[in-house]
Amino acid sequence: MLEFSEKLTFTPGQMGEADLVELRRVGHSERDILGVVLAASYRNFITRVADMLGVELTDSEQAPEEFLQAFGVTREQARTSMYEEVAAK
Amino acid sequence: MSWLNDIPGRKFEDLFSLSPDAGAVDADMAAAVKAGVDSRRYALVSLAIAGMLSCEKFAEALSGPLDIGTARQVCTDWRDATLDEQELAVLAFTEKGTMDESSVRQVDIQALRIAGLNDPDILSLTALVSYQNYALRVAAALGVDPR
Repeated sequence: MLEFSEKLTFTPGQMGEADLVELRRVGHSERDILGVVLAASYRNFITRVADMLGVELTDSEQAPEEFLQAFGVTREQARTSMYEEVAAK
Repeated sequence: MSWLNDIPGRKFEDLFSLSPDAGAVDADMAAAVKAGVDSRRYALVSLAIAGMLSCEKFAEALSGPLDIGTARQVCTDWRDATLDEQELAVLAFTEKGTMDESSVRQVDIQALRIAGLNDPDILSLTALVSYQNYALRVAAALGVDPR
């Protein structure tokens, strides 16, 4: 699911049927797949609204602490653009 | 059997048959975004984003009032398209908001004002750029035509 979300965020033009097949293979239902696509894409919407208008996200929009720990990032790092980290690789 | 096989004409809005509540929210967002810009700006921004995301296959679906040659040019490289100064400023902002959104600063907003956009215009443009960064990803992932 996270590999799918990463690919959808950074290289959406490379998405194909094989990506959906892989989600199904690991047990996701059709409804799950729609949910993952909408969630990952929505995040690409709301972070842009916040960044482009210079607003702070509300608490409900911030990633929960356990989420940050799972990804091994600090809250400050989570506020920076993922594109910067990809470009640096 | 995937629900994707049952979408006639690969229409974006039909994706939401599995989640009507999400579909209603999406429809409201799409209507609000479209109400804020004219059809030419909607097409230019959408096409430029499609190109930035390597989704050039959407050029025809997003062409709106533009001829297909212009649409493909904007999608391939908007800097080489025949556009006026305000449109170039709009697409420069669009590019920054799509490819490096956390780097947008007050100076970028100011550049839009200098190009003649007022604050409601800038809000509408931001909504459009953000919405298409959502909608084009949904379309790319699920193989339907974008809005």
